[in-house]
Amino acid sequence: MITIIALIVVGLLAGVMSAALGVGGGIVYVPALVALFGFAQHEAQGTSLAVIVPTMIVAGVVHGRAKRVDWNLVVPLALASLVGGFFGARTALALDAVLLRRMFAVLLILASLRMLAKTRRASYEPPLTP
Amino acid sequence: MASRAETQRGTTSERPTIAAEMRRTLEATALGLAAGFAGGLFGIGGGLVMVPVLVLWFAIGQHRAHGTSAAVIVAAASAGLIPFAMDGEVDWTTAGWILCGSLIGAFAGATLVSRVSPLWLARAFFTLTVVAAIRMAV
Repeated sequence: MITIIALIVVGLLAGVMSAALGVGGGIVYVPALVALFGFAQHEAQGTSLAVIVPTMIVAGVVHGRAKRVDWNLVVPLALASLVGGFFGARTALALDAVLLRRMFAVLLILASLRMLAKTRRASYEPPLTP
Repeated sequence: MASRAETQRGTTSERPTIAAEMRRTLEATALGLAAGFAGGLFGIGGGLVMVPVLVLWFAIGQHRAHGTSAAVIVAAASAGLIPFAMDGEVDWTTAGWILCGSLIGAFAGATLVSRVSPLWLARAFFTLTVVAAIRMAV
């Protein structure tokens, strides 16, 4: 029961973050499943993708209705990412779990560095107009 | 950074030629391949790569970049899910429970995107990723 509630809370947090910050889906699910729920790296990543698909369908519909989707870009991006996504997953499955987990740790550091600028209040002040 | 990129490209893209549009399509294809690969490799979808490139290189605004990235991730994550599912590396029950929370969270977040404090979300995200990175590296 506690596990179920914890899983729902992880989803809730990541859902808000992914919608508001543009990141926070898998970058939250994977480490949470590995560090908190004792998942193996590959199963954490597969499970994360299974959550991302329906979540992003809903987020995409909400963004689409609000006219925040550039459909001219979506077509080439989506077609290419079908190929990229498939071979990315095949590559992950061919890699050793410990290596993949360490690579993920590097990715997390990169993600946190990208977010660093947004953690300062000054970055939210309105920009000066020339 | 975003506004600088926008003004730079804004001057060149006033009259989009066929060559410019083809170039943009090619660039989008390259980005889709790279972001999709990263998304499948790490089980994250690919927004981490896509959103900054859409903002800085394609010069679409931050909110549009999030929306566009969400639509593309549906394709990237579906393609990545298939090999994982075929290898039995998906815990569907766990995915279902996380999904319950994330659907509510994604809907609330996308609807309240202009009202949620991004400052505190960014701080929470930064802390969580650093702690998780240390735990996963050792």
